Amino acid sequence: MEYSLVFDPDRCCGCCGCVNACRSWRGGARRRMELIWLHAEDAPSPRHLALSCRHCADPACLAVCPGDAIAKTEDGTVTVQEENCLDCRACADACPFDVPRFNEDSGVMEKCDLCRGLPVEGIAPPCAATCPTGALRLELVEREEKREAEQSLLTLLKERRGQSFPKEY
Amino acid sequence: MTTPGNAPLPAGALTLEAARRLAEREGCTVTPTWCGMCGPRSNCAIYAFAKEGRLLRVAGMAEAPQNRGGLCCKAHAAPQWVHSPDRLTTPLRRTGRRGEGKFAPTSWEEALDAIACTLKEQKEKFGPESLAILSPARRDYSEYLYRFLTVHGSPNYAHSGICAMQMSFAFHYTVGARPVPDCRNADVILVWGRQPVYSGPPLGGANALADARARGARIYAIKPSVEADGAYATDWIPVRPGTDAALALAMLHVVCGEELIDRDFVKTWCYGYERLAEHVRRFTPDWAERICGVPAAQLEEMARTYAAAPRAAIDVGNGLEHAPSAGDALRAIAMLMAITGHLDRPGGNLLAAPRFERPAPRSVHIRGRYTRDWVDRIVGPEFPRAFQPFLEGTSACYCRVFRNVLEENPCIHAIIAPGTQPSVSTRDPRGVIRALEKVDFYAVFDTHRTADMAWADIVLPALTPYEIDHPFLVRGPLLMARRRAAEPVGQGRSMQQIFLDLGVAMGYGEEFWQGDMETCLNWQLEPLGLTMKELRGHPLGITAPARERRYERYAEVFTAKSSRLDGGPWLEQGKVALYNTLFEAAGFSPLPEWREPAESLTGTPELAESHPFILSDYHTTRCFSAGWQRNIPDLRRLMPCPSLHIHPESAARSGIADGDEVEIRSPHGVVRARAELWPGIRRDTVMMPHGWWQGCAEMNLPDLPLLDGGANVNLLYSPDDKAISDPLISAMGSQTLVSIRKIREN
Repeated sequence: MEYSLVFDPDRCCGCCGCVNACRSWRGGARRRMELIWLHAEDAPSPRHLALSCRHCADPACLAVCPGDAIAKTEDGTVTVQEENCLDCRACADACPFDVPRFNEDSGVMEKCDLCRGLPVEGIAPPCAATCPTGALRLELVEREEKREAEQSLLTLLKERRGQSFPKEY
Repeated sequence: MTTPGNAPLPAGALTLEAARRLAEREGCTVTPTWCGMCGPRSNCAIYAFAKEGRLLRVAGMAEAPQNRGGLCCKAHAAPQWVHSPDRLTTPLRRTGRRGEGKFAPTSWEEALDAIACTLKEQKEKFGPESLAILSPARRDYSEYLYRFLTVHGSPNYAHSGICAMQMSFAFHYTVGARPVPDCRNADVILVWGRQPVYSGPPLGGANALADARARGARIYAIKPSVEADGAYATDWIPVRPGTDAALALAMLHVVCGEELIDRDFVKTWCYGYERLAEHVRRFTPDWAERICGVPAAQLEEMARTYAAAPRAAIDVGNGLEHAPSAGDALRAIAMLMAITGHLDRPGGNLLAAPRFERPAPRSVHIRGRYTRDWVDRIVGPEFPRAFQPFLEGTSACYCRVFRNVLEENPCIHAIIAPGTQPSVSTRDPRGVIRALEKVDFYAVFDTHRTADMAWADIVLPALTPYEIDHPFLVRGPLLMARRRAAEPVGQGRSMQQIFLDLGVAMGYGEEFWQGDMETCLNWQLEPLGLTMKELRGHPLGITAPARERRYERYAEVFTAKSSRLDGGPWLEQGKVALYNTLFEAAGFSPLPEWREPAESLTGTPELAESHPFILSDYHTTRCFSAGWQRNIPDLRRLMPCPSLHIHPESAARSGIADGDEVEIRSPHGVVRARAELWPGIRRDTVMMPHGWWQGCAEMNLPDLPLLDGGANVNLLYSPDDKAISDPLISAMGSQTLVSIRKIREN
């Protein structure tokens, strides 16, 4: 079983509570909201995608990192060892979700670490705790389940490629 | 607001115990209190974390029944609002010309004295009604404004004319109460002109729709533009802005014409069905299609689906309260609920009733002093005098106060703006600014610098809800004290305290607890057998048990007494007023009618040739309510500039790409915005946010002009009060026609 920030795009209301909870509790730009339109031509229906590191089953970033800065723990969390980051940005190119961001001052890659550093047991990361519709939840899932969720999110993201109205918050 | 009974706590949200442990580990303080970032009032309960008196961050309170740990993007940005460079920190006295923006700091004593002196002098010379207080969106201090006016002797509480009371009026005078949609049990839901996501997303509205969708409900989104809530809709009914009355009348045509009615209910509980059925015969779906732009077949299908479903609810929103026939639309919708048998039945629209076992605290609002003479002295009444006072008390219409100032012999000589910005909040900003130049006295009480502060004679700094320890609040089952989470910035005082202090300065001390807030709060709590001190001893407040819900309370609700001076019932016949004899007697149409917006494709086709797009605005967006808080960096990152939603096809035809800067021109003014290509908007309609003027110093974003060349959408609407307003409920239209031109490429 691996930790996963399970996300349900059909429940997300796009309020961006998660984005600002992350900014407020952790700083930086570890989390963002993307808006895509399904059936944009005839029956437009928006979907909001609350995006941060997916802690992938098979992380593409880890595979390309030349500095051993990225690792995956046994519980499924993908972590960054800041002192090993070379600022080469290979992870950013490899990530299918366009997640890695680089600290303006240090150049070090920053991303979601599931707030495992929060010193109190039993509380969810602020992004999930604040979610009014339960669209974002921290759960332990099977690795295969994680893989499927990654694929369906990528399918949704592909919808908007080529459309003239990309939106990101 | 939905309160999910005794459901288990949401997984992982902060409880008091976890919040305390977290605070201890982080070396900061934690305070359970209320969020203060919403436009209208505080609703969500939070844990506020602070260090050395500075608010650091917040988290939703897991135990709070109304938000259950959930919070939106505004809530998390609170520290940047509290500690903003825009904060007002000391009382100010104007030293330059009106509008120049030159002030000198002054003491509280001098400032309160200056206001009191002026008001006393004017009361003597012009009468007490010469004072108008502008109403902000409903706030936790609204009743203190009413108290001050009442003691002073003025009926002129200037209410917006665009929010909540418009809807309440139409519903009370049609079905005796404002019915709430039972979305949790409905199989068909009409989300009509409402935005349940951007207005208080943690309060259950979004959740109820997500649940309804998941269990297969049919959800119609009736609005010119679908936003985030469109994700939950199965059908989009793309109605043109301001034409909801035509749509509702045609739905009545279908329902009456095809007799899709609850015969027993209509026979027993409705007055005037035959006359209504006859009246709506001319409002055919084809007629409506031409006006609303909704295909007749789609309209008919929706009307039949709604009428036929045993559990069908209509969730009506503020979008309907902005049109010359807003009252007609709302009355027609109330009639739809009634004649189809969806009133006060599970899954329908429920008539309001006390839901919790708890005595009500005393209100500081004094209602017993209203007389006929009092009502006669209202300037530009929001509702006709025959129907004053309405629920909140006597009310003038906000924009009419300014019109009065511009008259040759005005009645209004002093205006106080406590937490509201007239130049960006109401229609005709040119007229507002002329009036602010002319009026004898203008005072601004606010937390941050405001759009029209430069015209004020006196400015008083108010504290945000995070810096004060009052009032206590009741939301749903929860009664909880507000607690001070951060040290006050500068010399500010709470808005409640400011009105107590002003009362004392005026010589009204006896009616203002001699300025002592704690005594005032204890007086309010007396019916509950509690003191503030005792209430503060409950860190999570006190939750009242729910009452059992009873349905079909028609006999009780339909005979309820109204708020009018005469105390007569809302419904003259004790039945749903399909034909309204009270309105008829007061000289208004007894049946719902259709009136075109001041400017529209079908009403002014000649104007449409040069101005091809309908323009309307959003009062609430993802991260902003109305005209404030644009100075908060974490909100501005989510919405960096005023944007104009335009359909990709319409944009392409005008040579406009996503992100281009565009000029929007109506017959009344010119504003600018950034084009945001929006597939979920009608092709003939564009929409932009309301009330945008403020810059954000931290992000080097400048203030925008209040008039031409800025982004103040009010400038684009007709300044003609008669043409834009509903004759009965003063709903101010937010529709006009515009042309759009690209001025700078992205």
